[in-house]
Amino acid sequence: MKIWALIKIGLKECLRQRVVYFIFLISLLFVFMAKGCDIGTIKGESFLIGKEARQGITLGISFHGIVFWSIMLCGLLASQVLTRDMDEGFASVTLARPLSRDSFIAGKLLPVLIISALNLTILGWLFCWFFYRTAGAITMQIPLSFLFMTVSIALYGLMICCLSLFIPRLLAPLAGIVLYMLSCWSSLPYFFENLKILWTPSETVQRLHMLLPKFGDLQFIGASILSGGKPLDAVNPLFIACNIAIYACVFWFVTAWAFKRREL
Amino acid sequence: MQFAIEAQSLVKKYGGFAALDDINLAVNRGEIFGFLGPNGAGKSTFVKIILNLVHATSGSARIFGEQIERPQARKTVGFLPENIRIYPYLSIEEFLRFHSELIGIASKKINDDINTCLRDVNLESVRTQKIGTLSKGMLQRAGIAQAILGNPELLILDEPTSGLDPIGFTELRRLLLEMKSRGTTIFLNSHLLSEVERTCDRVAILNKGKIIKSGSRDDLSDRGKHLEVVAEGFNESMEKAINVLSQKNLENDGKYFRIYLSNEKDSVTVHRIIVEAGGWVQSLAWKSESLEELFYRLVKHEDMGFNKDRP
Repeated sequence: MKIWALIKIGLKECLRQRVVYFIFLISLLFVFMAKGCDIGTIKGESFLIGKEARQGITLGISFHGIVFWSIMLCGLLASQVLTRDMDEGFASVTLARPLSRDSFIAGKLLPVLIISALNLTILGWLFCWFFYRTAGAITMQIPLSFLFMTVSIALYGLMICCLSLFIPRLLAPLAGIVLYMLSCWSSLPYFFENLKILWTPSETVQRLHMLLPKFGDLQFIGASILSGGKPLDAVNPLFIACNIAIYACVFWFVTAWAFKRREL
Repeated sequence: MQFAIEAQSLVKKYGGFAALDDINLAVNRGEIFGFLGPNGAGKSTFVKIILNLVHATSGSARIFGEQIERPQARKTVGFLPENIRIYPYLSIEEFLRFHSELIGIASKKINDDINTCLRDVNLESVRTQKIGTLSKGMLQRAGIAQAILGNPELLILDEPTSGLDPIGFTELRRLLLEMKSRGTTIFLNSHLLSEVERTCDRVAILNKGKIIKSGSRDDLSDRGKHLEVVAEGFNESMEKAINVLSQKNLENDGKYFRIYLSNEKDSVTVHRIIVEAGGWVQSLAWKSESLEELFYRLVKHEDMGFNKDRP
């Protein structure tokens, strides 16, 4: 009940922020882009690639665009979820109640994850609906790919929340995006066969790919599912699951440890 | 006996600076305890340590026998911080509902509790108003309302009169005395010495992180009664004669002066000295040392490096 009370307040707080609606609108543009499932009417390009390929590119751009902005939204919200309450002095009144600091973190972070997931779900279903209108059929590939991204967003939110306790809160989403991009970049050669011809990942890239949180793998798995590929052939799913679980635990415990040491 | 608050050898250091230095304090159940001190004495730090918002460098503290580190210790504690900050987008009622849920008040009882608290602080008519639109005084009342939610057994108030008008003062005093009569322990952290003097059973004076005096109001002053004289035409010969009589226990404030005498009959002699020296006595009365005077004397002496071997 205590966490639920915090979640209710947190949801209200998130929904009051204009950035939520602003980012939703930007993401919506990418959904509209997918609506036509067509790259456009530039003739010079359209005769070079077939209709299916064109659809695939449009779907891909839309998907990555939506995911990027959802990640941004989650990062911006998560970066201030604890720090703002501490800086503004709201936390001291709340924590003077019989509430553990772990519950406080959970109660503050969950609304951010809920709003981010909700944003992604709405966009995902709109994506589905437009696809249905174009293709005349429903495919489970779209919700499934967005489901993978929900996991990624939850991990990202946890990471930003953790980072915000160590670096200035405005820099946390920026640092998070850099890590995210780095993870995506190190995953590229594992998911794009054609790229392997041009780029054999060095040992450093391989190490980075192994050690960084698997944001990139999740994103490309999602994109592969969407385009009807077999994403799990390229990577070890168990390894990805373990990486995500370990990072989730590390981010949680470091956040809890740092927050418990904070004086309000 | 289980104390409402018990602190043992509490130390809080920020680098080399000791905000609290070996604090030993016990607050009895059911009493109103005043915690006094000048700015930066460490009063708020002590309160924050008790509520586990700040961590002590060493020492321990308990609330009703429970270690302060455990959230359970704060189950029956109401707290009003100095300069309370509340989510501005909530209405007063939503804010109180939020805290009711944090305390764990049964959902059936929440509405009744909120109504009672709002009635106690006179905020019933503005219950739906957003916190962000409240005046400082009303915000303070909202803070007091959240502190008294769920009838806490221990109420910790940090500068509760801040922002309140004289009516608010009186109502707060009435509320505190009413809560005390119901058995609530009240820990009052305040600068307003007259209010503390009127309401508190026991007092501790803190300066530079150390308790320099504590006890009941009557135990605090070791000076007994003094003669307060308001006279005109104060001169050197008068001062000399009175100093001989009071053994140099004379404090001169211009027109006012206080003389610490051991014998009440000497007041007649003082009157005679003033008149014979050409002065004119406007008033002459026996008074006890007020808390304000005591506070000023102790803190001033401490700051000047006196009282090295304090009691």
